[in-house]
Amino acid sequence: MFLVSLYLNTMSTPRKKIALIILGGTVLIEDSPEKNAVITGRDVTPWLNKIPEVNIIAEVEPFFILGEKETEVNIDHWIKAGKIVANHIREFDGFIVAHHTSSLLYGACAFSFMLQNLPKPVVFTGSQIPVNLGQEANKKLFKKYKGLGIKANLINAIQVASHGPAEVSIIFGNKLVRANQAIKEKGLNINLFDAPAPAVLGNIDFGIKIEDQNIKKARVPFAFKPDFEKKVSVVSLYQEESSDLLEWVTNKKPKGLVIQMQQSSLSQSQIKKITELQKSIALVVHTTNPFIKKERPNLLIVDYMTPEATLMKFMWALGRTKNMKEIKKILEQGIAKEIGEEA
Amino acid sequence: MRVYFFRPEINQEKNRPVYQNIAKKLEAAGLMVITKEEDDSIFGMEEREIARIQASGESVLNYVDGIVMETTADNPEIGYLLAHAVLQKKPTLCLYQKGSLIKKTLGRLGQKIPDFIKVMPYQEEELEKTIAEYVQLFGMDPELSEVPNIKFTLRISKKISHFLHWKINNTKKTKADFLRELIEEIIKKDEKYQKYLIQRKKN
Repeated sequence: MFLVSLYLNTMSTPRKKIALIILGGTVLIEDSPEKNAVITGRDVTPWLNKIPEVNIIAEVEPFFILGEKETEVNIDHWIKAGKIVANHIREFDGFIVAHHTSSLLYGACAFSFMLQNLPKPVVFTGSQIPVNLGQEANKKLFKKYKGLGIKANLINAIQVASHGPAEVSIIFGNKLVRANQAIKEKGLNINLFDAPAPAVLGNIDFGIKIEDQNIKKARVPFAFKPDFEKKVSVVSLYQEESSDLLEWVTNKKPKGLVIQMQQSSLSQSQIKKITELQKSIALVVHTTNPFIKKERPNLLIVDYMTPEATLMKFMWALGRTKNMKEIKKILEQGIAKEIGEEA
Repeated sequence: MRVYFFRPEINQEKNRPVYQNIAKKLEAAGLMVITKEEDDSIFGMEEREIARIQASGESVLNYVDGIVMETTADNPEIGYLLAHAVLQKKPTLCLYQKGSLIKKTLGRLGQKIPDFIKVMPYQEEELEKTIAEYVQLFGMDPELSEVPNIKFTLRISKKISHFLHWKINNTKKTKADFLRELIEEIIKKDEKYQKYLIQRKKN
């Protein structure tokens, strides 16, 4: 396997043009709290002025969608952001999405399914710092991140957006990972996201090393397919949980249901209920147990994707068809390199 | 002080002696030089340290005190390193030859080039002077470099020679090593000289 530094790949560097889509995740770790985050659209310019370093690498054009303190990011925001990428795909060399860390994985997965055969890199990053953090807590974080935080992440993201792999990825700390195979680490790790080895696209030392095989671009034409079924419920199911919970959720009449198994097996009453429910509602069971699929061939079990990728792909599949056989086919088919090697 | 020396197009034969010369002069000025080799391995840092930094999520750039770059040819890595250098306020030396776009690249910062970034053309005869100026950014006095690169002829008696010969016998030291260590020891113990150094730093 060859590792090729970016500087060996490109001999001349015309100034790159990068779009920065803002969906939160903008809190800077600064000694002074003045304008250290994007709350409204008016904050974008003063906020960007606090990070003049980014201009050395590329020309950055911001697109504001959502600020800190606003509602949680949802599928409508992601579609809006995806539309920006689709509409400007020729204009920019790459795209960065600054995103709240809480739902970043879902957003990045949604992007990977709606923006197909991307010809340019789309990189998610953000700040782990909540807005209006107490001064004492802020000081601690300042020390932990050595005052670098999102500024360092943004510089790395711009470099990846300029020269990195043409797919949806996430960069935090010194690791670049494939978005739809990423796993979120707990706590305030600098490397907030990790992934299985084949989905680690690159590492940072004195530069960003991208693995050679990840630089290849898709030969199929780019397509924007933002058809998501929004009315999908998610249930985290423990073995001891009564099946009343499933009843309660389905009474809300969702168009689809994702059951996330929190333990390695289901109780008999749960299996009975799920078998009954799947006659009236589109339903998938997500598990990390690789043996349950053989034990329960009558259920649509997904054990080959992350929980976030499963939900977003299921919503996307439901947006295209209501036929369960077709949904199963879509789920099992690799669309954006989301299926792990174990499948 | 540890500096990362960025050497673009290291695989080109004509660049090797140029880079070797710069690295030699950086070392002579008392800097520890870290480089990335053709196979992406890092030279000048222990593997264990690199692995620890990688696991922590930090960039190894955080663990060097400064950056030296050969910036004559346009290269995407230069802008990236400069952006981090500005962010981390790292003393940076951008060496260039005629026709470089480095000043234009730095102009994109939209503000005065920070004092900790030196952009200098380099010719063989001026390289030492340029590096000496750069070294001062670390608060290091080039006159106090600990690297033994000054030739010094000393006439000694047969008696001293006999003693030195006897002293280093069955050790891995040379006579010069022995004398250097002896003088280092005297420097450390000389309170008057130490006070003088503090005064000199203040001035």
